[in-house]
Formats: sequence, structure tokens, C-alpha cells
Amino acid sequence: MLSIASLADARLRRGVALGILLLLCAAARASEDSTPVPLIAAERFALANGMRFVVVERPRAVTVSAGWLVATGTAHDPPGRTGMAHALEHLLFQGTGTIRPGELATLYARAGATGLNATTRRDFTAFFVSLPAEALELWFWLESDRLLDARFRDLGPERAAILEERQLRVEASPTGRLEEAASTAFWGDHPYGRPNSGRPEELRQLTLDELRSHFERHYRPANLVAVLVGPLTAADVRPLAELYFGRLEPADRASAAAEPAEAIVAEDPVTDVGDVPPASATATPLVGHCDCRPQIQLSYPAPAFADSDAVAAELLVALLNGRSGRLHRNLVLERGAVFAAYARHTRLRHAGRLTLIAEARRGGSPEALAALLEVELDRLRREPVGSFELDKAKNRLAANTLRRLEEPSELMLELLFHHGLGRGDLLDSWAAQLEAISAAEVQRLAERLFRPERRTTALFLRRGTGTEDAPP
Amino acid sequence: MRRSHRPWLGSVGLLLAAVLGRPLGIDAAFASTESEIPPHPNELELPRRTVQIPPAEPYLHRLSQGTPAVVVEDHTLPLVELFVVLPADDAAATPTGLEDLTAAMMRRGGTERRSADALDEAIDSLGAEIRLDGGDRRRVAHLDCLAATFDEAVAILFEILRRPAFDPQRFESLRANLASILAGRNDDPIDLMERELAWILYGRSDPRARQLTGPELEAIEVDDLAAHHRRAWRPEGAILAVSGAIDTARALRILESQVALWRQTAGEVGPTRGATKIASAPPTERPTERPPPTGFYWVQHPTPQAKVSLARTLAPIDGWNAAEIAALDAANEILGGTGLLSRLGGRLRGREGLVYRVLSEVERRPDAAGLFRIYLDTSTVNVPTALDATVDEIERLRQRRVSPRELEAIRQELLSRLAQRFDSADEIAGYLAENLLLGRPHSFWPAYREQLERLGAGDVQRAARRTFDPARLVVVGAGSATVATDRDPVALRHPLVRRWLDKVTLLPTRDPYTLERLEPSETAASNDPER
Repeated sequence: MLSIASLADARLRRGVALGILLLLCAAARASEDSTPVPLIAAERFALANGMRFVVVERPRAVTVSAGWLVATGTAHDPPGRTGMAHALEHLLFQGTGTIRPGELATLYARAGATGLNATTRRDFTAFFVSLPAEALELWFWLESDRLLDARFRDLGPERAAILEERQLRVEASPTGRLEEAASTAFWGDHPYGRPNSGRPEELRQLTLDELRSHFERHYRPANLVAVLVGPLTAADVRPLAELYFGRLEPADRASAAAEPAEAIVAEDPVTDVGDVPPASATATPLVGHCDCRPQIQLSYPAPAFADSDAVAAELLVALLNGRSGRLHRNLVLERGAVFAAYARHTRLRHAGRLTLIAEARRGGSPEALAALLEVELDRLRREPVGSFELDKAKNRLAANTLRRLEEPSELMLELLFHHGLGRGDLLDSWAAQLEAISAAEVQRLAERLFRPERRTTALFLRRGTGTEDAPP
Repeated sequence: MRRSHRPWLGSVGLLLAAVLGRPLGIDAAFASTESEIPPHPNELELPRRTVQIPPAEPYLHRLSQGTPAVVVEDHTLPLVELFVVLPADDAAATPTGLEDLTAAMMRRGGTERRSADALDEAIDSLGAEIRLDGGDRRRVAHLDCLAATFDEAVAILFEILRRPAFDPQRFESLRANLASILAGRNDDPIDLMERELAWILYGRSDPRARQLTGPELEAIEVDDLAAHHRRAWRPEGAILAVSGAIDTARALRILESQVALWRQTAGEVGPTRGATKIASAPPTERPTERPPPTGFYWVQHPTPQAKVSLARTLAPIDGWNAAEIAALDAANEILGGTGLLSRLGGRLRGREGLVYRVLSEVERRPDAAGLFRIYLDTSTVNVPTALDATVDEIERLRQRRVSPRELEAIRQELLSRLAQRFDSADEIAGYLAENLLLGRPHSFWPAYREQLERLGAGDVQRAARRTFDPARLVVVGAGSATVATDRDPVALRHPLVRRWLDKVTLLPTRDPYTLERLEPSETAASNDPER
């Protein structure tokens, strides 16, 4: 393989420096007191009841992308009642005391809204839509009404839809069941190991009463945040926020006395696992068969989203990925047996999972790929990354991050999710954090993360090859 | 995924404006904050919306060599995108796979100046993304980069366009990966269904339906790629579209010099193909002369959830007829579409719990055959009931006029989508360049808006009657055929659905690599779409 040094002529090196300086230090120019300047100029305010708002002005837009999030997801489902958060997400489309079932979508559509949807993740549940700027007040009306006066009318159709959704995403997906099994193997009994849509047998047992109780406990203003991106400012939004969402009172929701947000956190069944490996990390590798390319997955506990090492972990992944990244170059291009190799970083509120994946080409076996991946991990542990390679990875990561912030609806979701993951202000300092990461820090992080005793291994074998057990 | 709506890919645009400042009276939207909250949102006094279509002229330029260039500035973030689009009016004559492989290898195989590794390194070090695609209608090169590195990144892109090297080792690597992909193309039931549907609709040799086989892949050599590049990736007929944080004058200056180099190189390396007349390009695809397929086809797959399409091809329309297209779009959105209000979604997913997802799409254009299609994700056991309900809703739309309320909701939804098509710099650039490529006048868009605003229930019903005839649909599904068709037909309301289920054509299982059949079809050979 050619060395980096031979590839990088002086002009290219200038390009690297220019790219990173442009992106990360444009901020520094405007900041003489060395306070990091954010990638995105977001305005923030909170209502008296604790609900938070984030507003990003896009003056030339004609559409507002708006969403709100409750910091409650599948990890907060009570034991034995998985699927509760997801079922609540579905039920909140069933109308209110004023809005009939199905009318929510009709009202939005008549106002010209698009993209009405919701998502349930491990740490949060989010509801969002894009609508013409003139119809902004409709969003405040409908969304505050959902929270104030939700009526859970019929669980049956929603349960059927959720089971169909599971069929789509898991059962009918070539790798769906194995991915779910690999996740369970990694997280063990940790709440993050639960299937996102719930276990079908538990979902079938849920009742409207317990769902209502779960809603009242968690859907309180101190647990909510809203993000709006469009031709508006916080000064525009605040009066409407106070008028509509200011009506939410914690005392109205809670069956007992009002609890501050901290109390929710204290009761949170998800513990901060930090760098503690899942209990099953050293267990026998998961082996399963699917209609897929044979592949191996090596998973390691990784920093949580708000962890001080989280950006460095992103950079570590950027070093491994990309067409000129280490995994593609050294495994796919140099080794004839590898179809694809890449790293995936799952960042959650209380923990993370960094997975390295290598897929074998036709007729190949995935077992041998573990050693190839291990070689790359060992290099990261033993050798500091060169400055050219480090700058290149920073440039790629910075540019890719900017791209995610370009479209207003994606920016809205990104900011919402950051709040749901416990670090709503991440973009304020992200560029400065990235710029400051040294090769030594990357090496230290690799040493800490990529330890064999912390690894969980999953092998996906192609169905019809070798000994075939029923998929887990 | 960033920017899921790409005009280049033929999908509907989404989000956000660049040109009109702060146009929509947002301040007025907050007028009611001093008043009481109305008891129902229908009583909100929302400002009237005006859908703005930006004029094309400020963004349209022509380089000194005659190449059209669209430039739309947006300095919100320090990013720039460039599309180089070439008409591909010769797709039918190109051997299967050559178009895609050439485009893929142009990006992967280095240039005469840089090794494949050095090219990857240079692009990644700039934080740039470069992608090239060959298609059955157009060839597209795409650059996404930081504004400050635009000069260098554009130079790399044009270096690829001018002098790709097609590194043989990289080609072998790509070919090995493609062989793996071909070997796995029966894995996903959606892929299976799509393949069989395209074959049935268009025939196996049509550019929209052709599938590369393993032996065809093995027969392609590096020299074939280089020859195809010399013939197909030429500056004549190119359309350029730039959007993002760059001054128009600077963008034009950079493009001017790069296109001049490209023309010079193209003159050196091979014969010049006749320049494509962009604005008056003849139709490249005529409606197939094969008898339109009908009936029910099924391909076996052990998935618990069936993937089902009901589809038909549509003849090209006579010019960019805004009235016809608006009426058809409205009928499609009422029936299925992708929006919030569809009848199929409300019934099949909402009230009857038969499907997780139901969508419909319709496309009619003057330069090519169009398509109407409904797609269902449904438990295999629910297939007969879901088909019956689908036909029921199609017939209802054809037989009864929509209510003013329903029509108004759809009208607003479509107007919003129209506004979103011109709501960001990249969307504007994309649609303007696509106008040039398709010969679509920019005046089509204001005309389309006006047609949406004046659309009547009769227009929608006529469009549905003309286009949505269930008897002209072919049904193609993937899943367990035994389960999918195991239903007492008496319980079904529509005779057409009973006929479909009475005569299911089981499609042969095929070797995924060669696409040779592995077993004979279980029903009459006369129904085999291969014939």
C-alpha cells in the first residue's frame, strides 16, 4: 500500500489545512474572548412550567420545521411491559377531547403541512411536522392540545399497526432478527437491550389504563423540549409558547404532587453505565443465520452522547470509515475476501456502543475477518495517528456534520435528538472540541475502548451454509 | 439521510427558499397571541398563504462555450453543491451494466494524474463527496464540498470527468463486490418484487427493467469502461447546477475554465458526439408496444410480510399539460400518495389494521412512458383482504366525486409541496436544471399552481377514471403464495380480486447470480412474462 506521505503533495496538504481552518476556526475569528462559537445560532428559552424551547432562524425559508420531544423512550418502559413508549407514540395520534380520531392529520394537511410523523427511541419520543410559516399557530394549538387533553380511545388498531411495523423492520428484514439479537447480546439486561417496538407478547398485554398512567407520569413540561427552525425568532415564538404550552401544569399531570425534572431522572431505570461493559461482554459469540452476506460484528462499550470523550469517539469512527479510511482501504481494497468494512457508533444518553463490521464477499467466511479487524484496532492502540490523517478525518467529520444541519427539517430533528440524548447544547462547542483533539487523545481512547475482554461478538452466517440453527 | 428529495432522482422536492427574502407575512401569523385561544383550530385566523415560484432568469447563465449553468446562492452554511448532468438518450443501446460500472469506476479508479488511492485521499482530505451515476435517462456527477475548497474539489471532479484511469485492480475489487451483490439479490423480498414487476411491465430488455447477470458482469473489461466513458461522458449537452455558499461570478469563472478544459480533452480523446438539443430533446422512450400486462403474479419468499404492487404503465401526455398533471396528482394523493390524508392509508392502516404502509405514485410526462402504482406492506395472510379494500377505494374514487372539504385539504397539501420544491437553493437549482434537461418550460410551474388552485371535483374524478382502472392493473407480490392466496373468495367483494386469486401465476425461482430459472413455473407457461 502507498504511504500517506507519498500521496500528499504540498498542495493537498494546504487543502487539508484550509478545510479545517475554514470550518472550525471561522468561529474563532468572531470570538476574541475564546468562547466557542456555535455551529448553529440557536436561541433558547424556558417557560415557567419548565418546558424548553429552541429556535433557529432561517430567514429565507417559507416553511417551519417544528417538533417536540419527551425525554422518555423504550428504556423507560417498566419491566415486563416493553412497547409502552412506542404504543403511547401511536395513541397520541388518536385525538383529544376536541380533535376527533384522524382529524389531526386532516387539520395539518389542510393547512399545507407535510411530514407529520413521530419516532420512539431508547431515550426519548419525538413528534414533528413541517408546515407553512403562516400556519405556525396551528402547530401550537394542536400540539399543546395533544399534551393537555389526549384521549386514548382504542388500543387495538395501534397494536396491530405496531406489530405490522415490527414485521416490516425486523421480521421481514433479511438481518432484522439477528441485529435485534446482537443488540440484546451486547446490552444484556440493560434497558437499552429491549426491542424498540416492544416484545410482541408484552405488547399484547398492555392496557389503556397503564398507558394513560405512564403518559401522566412522563409527559410533563419539565420533561419536554420543542425545536422550531424557519423564518422566525425566539421573540416571535415565545408569546405563542407561553399562550399555548404555558397551560401545561406539572400538577395537572401527576397523580401525586408535582415533581421536578430531577425526580424523573432519579427514578430513571436507566443507569449511567459509562464505561462499564455489559454483563454479557465475554459470553460466547452470538451465531445466527440469515439471508444476508456473512459478516462479523465486534461491539465495544463506548462513551455516552454527553460524555467528554464522545466527540473523540466520533473522530475515531471517522478515521476508520470513508473511502480512504483504514477499514475500507486495508480490508476491502487490500484483502480479496472482504465486501465491506466499517464502524458504527450508537450514541445514547447513558451509554454508547461502537461496532466494527466486516462483511465477507460471496462464498467467504466471516470468522477470519475478526483477526483483520483486530489488526486495525491494535494499530489504533499502539500508534498515534499521523497529523495528515488526523486532519483528514476531522475535515470529513466536520463536513458531514455540517451537511446534517443544512436542511431545516433535519436540523430540527438533530437538535431535538441532542436534547433527548442529554446534550442539547452540543453544537455550541462541538467544533472547538473536535479541533482540540490530539493524536495522543485518540490513541488513549482506543486503548481504553478496544479491549478484548470488553468485546461482544456476533457472527451472521448465510442461511444454508454450515450448521444451521434457528435464528435467535 | 440528507436531502432525501432530489429533483435529479425524480422525487418530490422538500423544503426551503432562497430567493424571496422573508416573504410570507410571518409577523401576521402571531397576531392572535393577544387574543383568547379559540376552542377549535378551525377558528384560528391564519394569514392567507401565497405560494411563490421564483423566476428562473436570475439563476440561468450560459458559459462562453454554450454550456448552460444554473447558480443559486445560499450562504447559510459554508457548503456548496455542484451537479453535472448529461442526457443519456442512448441507454437502450448500451450493454447491461456498462453504464453503472463506468460511472462507479470513474470515481473509484483514479485518474491519469492520481492513483486510485491518491484520488480517494484527495477527496476525503477536503471533506468533499463526489459521486457519479449512470442511469437510463441521465448521467449525473455530483460534488458536495466546503465552500472554501470549491476550486480544488471542482478541479478534482472535472479531472475525473476528463481523464479517468479505471485502475484494473480497483475494477477487480468492484467486480468481486458486485458479484456478491448479485448473489444476494433474492434475499430481500422488496428487491424480488421490484425485479419481477419491472420485467412484467416493461419487458426484460427495456433499460428500466434490465438486470445485470453474473456472466454479463464477467464479460465486461476495463477497456469497455474506458470506451464507454469516451463516448458517453462528454461535455456536449452537459447542464451544470451550483447551489450554496458561493458568489455567482466566482462559480461561473471556475466552471468556465473547467468546462473549457473538458471540451479540449474530449476533442483529443475521441470523436465528438452530436450536441444534444437540450430544450427540444425528442422522447427517448416510447410506450411499450407489448400488450399491457394484467393479472396476479407471485414470487415465493419466506418473509412473513408480503410486498405487493398494483401497477400499470401510462402513455406519454401531450406536452407539459399542467391541468392534466395537477388533476392526476390530486387524484393520486386522495387515493394513496405519500401524504397525511390518503383514503387507502386511512382505511387499510388506520381503520382496518391491514397494512403498515400503503403508498401510491403516479408519473405522466411528455417525453417518456409514465407509471401508476400502489404499494402495500401487509401480513401475507391479509393480502386478499387488502387487495379487495384497495380496489374498493379505487372504484369509490372513480365513481363518486370527492367532497369540497377533502378536495381543499389535498389542494393545500399539493400547494405546500409545490412551495417546498422551490424552498432551498439546491431545490431551485435542481428544478431549473431539470427544466433544461427535460425541455420543460419554467412557466409550467406557475401554470401548475394555478391549476391546483382552480381544481374541481370533476377534474379529479375524470383523472381517476382515465388512469386508475383496476382492470388494467397488474398485481405482483413477494411472500408466501400459499398463505397470500388462501382465502375464501366468497368473502371478497370485488369479482376482479376473486379472478386475480383464482389464477395466480407463480413466477419461477431464479438463480440470483445468473437469473436462470431454477424450477418451472407452476402455472401455465403462457402466463410467463418472459415470453
